[in-house]
Amino acid sequence: MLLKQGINRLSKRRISQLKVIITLIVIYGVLNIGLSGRIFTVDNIKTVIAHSIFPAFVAWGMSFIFIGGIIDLSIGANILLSANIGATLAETYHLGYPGLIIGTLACCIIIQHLSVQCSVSLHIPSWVAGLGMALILEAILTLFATYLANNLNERLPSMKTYTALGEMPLMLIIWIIGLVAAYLLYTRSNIGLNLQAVGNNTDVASAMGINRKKTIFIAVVIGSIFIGVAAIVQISYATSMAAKSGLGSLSGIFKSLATVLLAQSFERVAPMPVGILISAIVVMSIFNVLTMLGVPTGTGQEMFLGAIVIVCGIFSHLGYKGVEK
Amino acid sequence: MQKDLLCIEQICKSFGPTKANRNVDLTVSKGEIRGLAGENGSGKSTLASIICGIQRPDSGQMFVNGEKYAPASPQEAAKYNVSMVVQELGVIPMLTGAVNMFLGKMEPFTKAGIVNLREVEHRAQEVLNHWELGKVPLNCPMGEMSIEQRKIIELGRALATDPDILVLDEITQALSHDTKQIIYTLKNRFQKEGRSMVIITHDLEEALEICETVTVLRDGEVVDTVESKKLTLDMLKQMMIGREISGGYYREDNSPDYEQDVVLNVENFTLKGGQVSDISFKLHKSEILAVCGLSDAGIHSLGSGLFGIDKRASGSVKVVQTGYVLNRPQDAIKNGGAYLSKNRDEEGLMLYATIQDNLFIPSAKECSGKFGFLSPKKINELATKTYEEFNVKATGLNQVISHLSGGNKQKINLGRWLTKDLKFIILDCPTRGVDAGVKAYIYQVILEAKEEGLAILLITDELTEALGMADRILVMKESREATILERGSDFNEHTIIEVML
Repeated sequence: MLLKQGINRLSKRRISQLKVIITLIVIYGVLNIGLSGRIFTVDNIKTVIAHSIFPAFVAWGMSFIFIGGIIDLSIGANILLSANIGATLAETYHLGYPGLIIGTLACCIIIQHLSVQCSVSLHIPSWVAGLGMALILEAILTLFATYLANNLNERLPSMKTYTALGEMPLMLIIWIIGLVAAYLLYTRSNIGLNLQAVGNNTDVASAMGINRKKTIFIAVVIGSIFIGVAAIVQISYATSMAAKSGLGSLSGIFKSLATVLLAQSFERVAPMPVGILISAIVVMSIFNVLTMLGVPTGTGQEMFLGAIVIVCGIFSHLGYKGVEK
Repeated sequence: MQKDLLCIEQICKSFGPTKANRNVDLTVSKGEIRGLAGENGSGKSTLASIICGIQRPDSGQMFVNGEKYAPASPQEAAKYNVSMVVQELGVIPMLTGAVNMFLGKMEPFTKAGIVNLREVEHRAQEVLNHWELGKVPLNCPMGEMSIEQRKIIELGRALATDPDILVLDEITQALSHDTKQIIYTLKNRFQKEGRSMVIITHDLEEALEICETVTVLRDGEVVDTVESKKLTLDMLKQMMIGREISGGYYREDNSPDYEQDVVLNVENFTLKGGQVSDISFKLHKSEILAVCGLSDAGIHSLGSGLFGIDKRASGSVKVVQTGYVLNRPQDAIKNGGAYLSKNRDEEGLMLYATIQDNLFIPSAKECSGKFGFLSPKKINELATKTYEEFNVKATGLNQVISHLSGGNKQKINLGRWLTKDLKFIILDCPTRGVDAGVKAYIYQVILEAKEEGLAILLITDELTEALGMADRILVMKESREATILERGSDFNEHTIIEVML
């Protein structure tokens, strides 16, 4: 009897999954026909994948940090600073790939922890702490750029030699490894399950013997590694990342934020890491299609992106009883 | 000492000025099933949570099997083979039943940091089978399960540690009539295997039926521990409250007593998900129509469906006086309807808002001034009136509701609707999780509302409640109407169970 009720609920989930998949196939199928088959060409698919790696990795990182209740908006500034430190070590100080990878990851993990601790230890809302940290990190990068210009007669580094991590097929391999790692860590590891428990109900999680502080600490390390990889891939792909000020770094993570939001709305349909992968592709392909349709970049395209996020949210929550917070 | 599995000596626990437990002494022997009885706020749940390591006592000591026992956490308690199912729902909604059962105890299923979820599910199924807990979907997120299914998972979680002492805090009231049998089976098994249970329940008849001995607590102190066979229901109530309760719980007449005016006309009502199918009945003015059924009969879905929360596939729910067909909760409220969910904390109250906010929300329109703005004066008047009328025990209107006992929460939940000019109300298990005193009070309030002409649909898992309160009983079976019985004719537990099965 109880089992029958559960099975009914499970089949609802399957139906929702099918609805989302069919909707996506229909939309892209129609658009492909409308655009004379330009969407499903090998080159275009490669472009979409290449562009979706950065938002996907940042979103995977965000998902580990956000679920613990930390809405950190300094991630964009962290990426800019960490990527430039890594690139400086690799190119300016000739430390090559070890310098790029270790420098970026170490910097990213340290900064991320500072940002999270700023919120947790000082008991201030994480988004407030994040905005403050973003301004500080942006200023540090600007100071760093000024220092390079004044003392070493150099600019923020441009990647010339060590760009393999931003090229195909290595990017694709990193993408696949990222997906497998995010999936296993989020849905199949102790830390992932504990983190979901803490994010859902701290009191119940504590009563079940889960150490909240330790869980959040490890989750931030994992999240930072994903964000650090995103920074490495992005600076390798784009060859340079300019300093920004006045919270300009926030715009750099807008697509990743949209990806996380979209994946959250898919969560009843697909596990978060898989939802992020699909969402990143959807988000980037929206921009891809809009560009093909001649929609001006910037405001015009972002309006469509917002509308798609809402539509996907509606689809994934059909039949769900209750209020989403 | 050796025969005593659990021995508690002089336990004291205070929360600020409130003394929750005062010099509590308690011994539980091997194979003993002990009941803890007392009014809301008498200190039962605090004592249980101390036994299980959720809270630490201010003073006093405990022994398990003669060995000193001072658990700092439920995990430490589990090492001494002590576990508990808490009163409020302690699960993580987004994780599956199997994961919830072993969350925080995943080491045996983990290799290289990766949890083998199949093994977790397999082990969870083994636990359900071993303890005969019935069939519950284990790979379904807990948030999508019913309260009953969640409680079974929680019970499985407690039993997964193979406890010698199992503490159950108000578990039976979340279970339907048929699923309660699980507890009876478990009780027999525990007795046979020399394990002990400490059961907290507000259902006193059940306490006397299941438990061999009952310890009564009042104002944090142990009043007495008595063998169940030497106790009557009235004696137990008197011990709990400290005075005699005048009159019985239920109405004493033996014939239906309601007006012929139909308030709500339900015709061929069917829900989209199929939980309710082809139900028809008329709810009259001054009538209490009870709805009973087994766990899968759809009685709770009927309540939320009629109110418009769940989507209707076919049929109609019509307010006869206005001719309005109800589709959404707003329609029902506009037409003088109200609904109390069984899941009071999640679907009824705003737990982190104040008593005043909870009390005035359904009457926000009436509390508005000339230009549509809320009038603080009207809000305060309405909240104070309800607070006093329903005798809520709290520090004042500004107290956050989450800190109140179950009985006081339910008084607010019910009171805020009954102060409105209602035509009908749907009550889903209104006495769930409340003590004998509050229960009697709620019945009295319901009967007064009936006298004043309110039409009441009373959905209940307790047959005695249905028999004691209703003019008619609609018995559901497999989502459909099995029969409608009228007070005075075949109105007994035996007939209802026969129809239900």
